[in-house]
Amino acid sequence: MTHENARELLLDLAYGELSPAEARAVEAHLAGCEDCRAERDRIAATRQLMQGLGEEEPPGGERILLAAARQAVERPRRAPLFSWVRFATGLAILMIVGGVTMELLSARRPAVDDAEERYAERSAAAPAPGLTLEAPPVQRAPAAPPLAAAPPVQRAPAAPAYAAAPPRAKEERQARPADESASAPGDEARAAEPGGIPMPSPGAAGSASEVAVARPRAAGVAPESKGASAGPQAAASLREGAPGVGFSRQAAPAPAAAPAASRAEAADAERALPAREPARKVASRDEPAAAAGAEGAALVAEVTRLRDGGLLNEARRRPEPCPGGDTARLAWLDGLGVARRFARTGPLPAAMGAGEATRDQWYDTQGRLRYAVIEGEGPEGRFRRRILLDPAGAVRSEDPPGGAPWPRADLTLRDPAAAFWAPQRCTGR
Amino acid sequence: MPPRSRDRPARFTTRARRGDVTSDSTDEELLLRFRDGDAGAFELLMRRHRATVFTFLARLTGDRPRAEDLLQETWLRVVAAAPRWEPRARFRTWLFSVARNLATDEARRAVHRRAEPLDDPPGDGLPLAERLPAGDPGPERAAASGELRPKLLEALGSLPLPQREVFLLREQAGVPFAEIAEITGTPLPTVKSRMRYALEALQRRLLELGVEPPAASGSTGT
Repeated sequence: MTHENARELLLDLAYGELSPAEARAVEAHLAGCEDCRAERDRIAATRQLMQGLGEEEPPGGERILLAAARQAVERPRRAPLFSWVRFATGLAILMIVGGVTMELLSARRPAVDDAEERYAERSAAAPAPGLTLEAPPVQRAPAAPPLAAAPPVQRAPAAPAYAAAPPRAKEERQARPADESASAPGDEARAAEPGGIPMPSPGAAGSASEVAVARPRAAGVAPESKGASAGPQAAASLREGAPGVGFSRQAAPAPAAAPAASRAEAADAERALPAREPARKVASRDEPAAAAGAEGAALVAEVTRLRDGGLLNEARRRPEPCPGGDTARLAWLDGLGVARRFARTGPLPAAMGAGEATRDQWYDTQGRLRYAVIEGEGPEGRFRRRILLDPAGAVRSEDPPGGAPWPRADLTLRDPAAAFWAPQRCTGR
Repeated sequence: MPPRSRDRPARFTTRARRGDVTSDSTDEELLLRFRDGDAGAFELLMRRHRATVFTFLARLTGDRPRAEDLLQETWLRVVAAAPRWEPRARFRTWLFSVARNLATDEARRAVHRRAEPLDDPPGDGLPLAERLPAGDPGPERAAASGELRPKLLEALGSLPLPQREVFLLREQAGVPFAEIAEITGTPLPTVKSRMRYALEALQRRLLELGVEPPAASGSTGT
């Protein structure tokens, strides 16, 4: 064996990746080559040193995983539809099995980020004071409208169906008959569950089913499949964790991340449907602010009651600081990772000057933003504005203008949990 | 009616009997058992790999809380994907791919990221001044190593990400080079180059930090 060859193979030898014959050949060369012996020894010494690190102690949180696994096997899943559209996990599998490039993976961002980015762009372009709450526009092509049916089904065996429930209505799952195989639109068209914010039922049902027809079915497996049992169980283990101060010492947040990603992508799909685009204009600025106050207070009270009852856990984050990014985030998450409250604090846009704003957002059981309070302080003083939205995302009422200027709303219309967990969006300003 | 995947009913069946899997079962056997309804198989699988994956994530990202999240997310995806598992790919390859991609996705969006694409040609990456893993080493390890451990972590943290991930996978997770090539999506010679650079860089850095190399031995371990 030549010197160069042997030198090349020292690494393989060190890690036992040579066949016995090759190893013998290299060793034979080593016997007569001081250079290579020195290199071999250096490799060994470095390895030995670094082995002193050992392994890290994994965190707790096994219970949640085991619970998820048990629920997954106890309940047979529906055959998922369009699963490849939904989840980056599928792409990870595809990379191995199908050789798909990383391009797809990087194109897949949480829908919230994309939507908020575009919203931010448009709002920046039209910096009028006041509220323009628009639906995020139709998803761009790489995300692939789910209506374009035929996913690459040949990949389907490798593509995992993601373990998150449909984004809405965990309560509904209890009411659902043992109708696992039907991926009917009726899934989504469930009426309001007890205790939720009273919603205009016919409208909700109608629009929801309209969405559901075109919407890819979520793979309904697992952690959320038994809403009732998952709730208290997960809630119990959530409560065991550190009380919300600081980040992710509890195992709970991660399950939220998992379903949240799928919800983001489900919302993805939802936004791709032009039929869902709500009104672009503020409905009426003249509506009495009392409506905003009263109904908003009702939602806040309802959600707070859930929190006090232990059904919602508080999670806080201090994301990596960066220009334009949040300085703090808070979410109230249920046992399945659905957020009913999502608050974020961050600096004012540079154009406004120095200051800070907090957006405290409250969601109905379908995960839609219904009430938001934006308050903070800017160069011209404190501001506080309350906004009430209807289920379609249009502003139903809000505080009358006046007072100190306040930043464009930049609200998280859907998937608050995904937004809570999402990485920072740094505007660099 | 939208088309459905008919290739395989993605259901957990209940054919399996508990207790059929043992600690001698391969990863793929365990995963198939889990798919077939044995949650205990998943538990075995998880216990087998969880610490290794966590160590990989923690030392790759240098951020323990984030690694905890990534770890949970990774395993939840295993649960989710198990029904569709086709034993074409090795489980470990897939497991680390998922973990690595999750970490990479986040890193790509992180603001602190310097402009360092993960697929750097070897040696071109700037050493990242990453934060050290904030993990608690545990009382015995801390006592035994004194000041050694922070230096080891510092040296590891000084590696550019492409080298660091290869080093972690090979040295700490015990993944062969060819499998690392699959996981990272880089050619095998590149993987080995990065490993060589990693070892050299570690050696240099450790010397700079005043870490004494152990006495040279005649044989190499694996």
